[in-house]
Amino acid sequence: MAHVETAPQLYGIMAEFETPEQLIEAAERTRAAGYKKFDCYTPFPIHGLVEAMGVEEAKVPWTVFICGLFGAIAFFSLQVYTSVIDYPLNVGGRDFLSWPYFIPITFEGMVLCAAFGAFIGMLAYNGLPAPYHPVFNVPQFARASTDRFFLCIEAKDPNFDRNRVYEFLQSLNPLSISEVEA
Amino acid sequence: MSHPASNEQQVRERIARGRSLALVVGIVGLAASLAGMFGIFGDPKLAFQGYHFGFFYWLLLGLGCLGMSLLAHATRGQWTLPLIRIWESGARAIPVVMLLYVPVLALGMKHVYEWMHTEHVAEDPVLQAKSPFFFWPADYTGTPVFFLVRFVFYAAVWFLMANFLWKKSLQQDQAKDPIEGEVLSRQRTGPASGMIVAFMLVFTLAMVDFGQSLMPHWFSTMYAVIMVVGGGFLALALAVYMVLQWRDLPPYTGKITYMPYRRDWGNFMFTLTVFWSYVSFSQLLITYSGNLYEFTQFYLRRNDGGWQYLAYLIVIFHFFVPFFLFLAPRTKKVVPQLLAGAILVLAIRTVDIFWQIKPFFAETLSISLFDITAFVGFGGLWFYFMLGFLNQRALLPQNEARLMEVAHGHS
Repeated sequence: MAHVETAPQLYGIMAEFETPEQLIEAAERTRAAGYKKFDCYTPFPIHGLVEAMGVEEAKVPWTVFICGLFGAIAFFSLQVYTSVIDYPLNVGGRDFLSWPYFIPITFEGMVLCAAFGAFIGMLAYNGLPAPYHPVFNVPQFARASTDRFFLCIEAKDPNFDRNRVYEFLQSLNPLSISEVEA
Repeated sequence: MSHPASNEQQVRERIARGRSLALVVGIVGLAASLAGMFGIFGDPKLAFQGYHFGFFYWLLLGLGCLGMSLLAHATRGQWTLPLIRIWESGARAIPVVMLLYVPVLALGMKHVYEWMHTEHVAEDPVLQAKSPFFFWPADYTGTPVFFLVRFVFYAAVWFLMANFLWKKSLQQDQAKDPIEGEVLSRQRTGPASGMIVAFMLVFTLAMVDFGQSLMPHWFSTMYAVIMVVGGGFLALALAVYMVLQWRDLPPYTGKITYMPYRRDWGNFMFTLTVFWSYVSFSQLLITYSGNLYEFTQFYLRRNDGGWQYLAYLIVIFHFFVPFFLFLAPRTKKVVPQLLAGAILVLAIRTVDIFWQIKPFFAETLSISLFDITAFVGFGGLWFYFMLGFLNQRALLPQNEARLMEVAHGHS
């Protein structure tokens, strides 16, 4: 690259848009241009944005599934251990392994572990809690929680080149373009 | 009008063709069953019992259609709009099923209902105590007057409900604009909500008569709930199947079968899978805990003599498989996968209803010719009328602002 990396503290370059439709189009074109490390910031959830960004959201569901499965097996096993192996108890002449009795607890255990998986997994994958985030260094970004839509291409993207990203964002006709300091 | 009748021609032709086929199959099936009742193919008992299974199945599907129509009108969910005409037509075909049951009422009550056997009741104080529910004002040696009165009462109530919804929807079709249509649609929510309560009360009674009374010592407070969920599930799967089959033909193209609707349909099928499993398992758990013969005999019969294999099948294909199938977001994105899900539900619901009804009559796993002839006989005639009703009106609600939003919206 001819350009010298003068700002190692650069987090990325951010463009500001006025409407959700513009942001969706911008996200589609950003993905088409080959950028992978970019994110969108909006005041409310926008239908179709996730698809436009091409985000593969497979992590949380699988975490929940595995946690739920673990919970179900663990709680069922606990009951089998306590009522069949460790302290067999005759209840009305039924089998020690009276599985219908174990189902409610198994279900509760599954829900409990799955909910923990969802809650903690969501926080972890989102990198939360995050006391500091560079995008807040841009003054315009204050409106990201009211009426403006932002797209930020991050410097860690392998295709990141300051001038070319700048030109590319320019071609999307944003309201403004800002450099985000890390 | 957003859906001109001219390009609906293909679907309407398919409906008409399906009707002719259904009529032929139905008449052949019913003729075979009726012949069996007169002992032409052996023991008439099997013919009557098979006939009862056919009646029960298609009554449940019809009632599922009625229940889903009521739910749709009461909640005004957008996802119900592409399906609602199928449900309304199915609900309107209930009186046909009721009418076709007359041969059993006239000729074969003894072959179906144990409480009709005077000699059993005479030795059995429990059945004697229960007999006024069927025979009042006579005693158990007479005609089951109260039962027959209820039969007519059910038919009347269900016809009036289905007809009310039918007329109200037709009124909206003929409204002068979508604004008037919206007003009419909102006006239906009140009566529909009230009718849900009446529907459940009448349905519960009917399930005592046509289901639980087949094993008159046994009873379950969960039974009607299991059955209403099962009936609604059947109706939902059938409507989703039909609409998705026709997804390339107007008026079902484009946004009528697009992803947000399919997601709602898939999610509702997921909900019903879980709810059905919940109430079914609850009945088992309560029975298992109580451990009293009057309750356990229901499961003892169904967990023995080969019936247990159907039970395993039901646990796998009525809970585990649809649970994960309808949970997956992919199922709602990929049309053939959702279609396969609907077919699976139709198939396993049929197995489940067979497993519910047939063991009342048979101790070992068996299927008679008449189970099949009655099933296709009732089914053929039900479809003949249901498809006929469907073809009588617009295939989608007209003057429906919520549907127009979708058809012309930009999202």
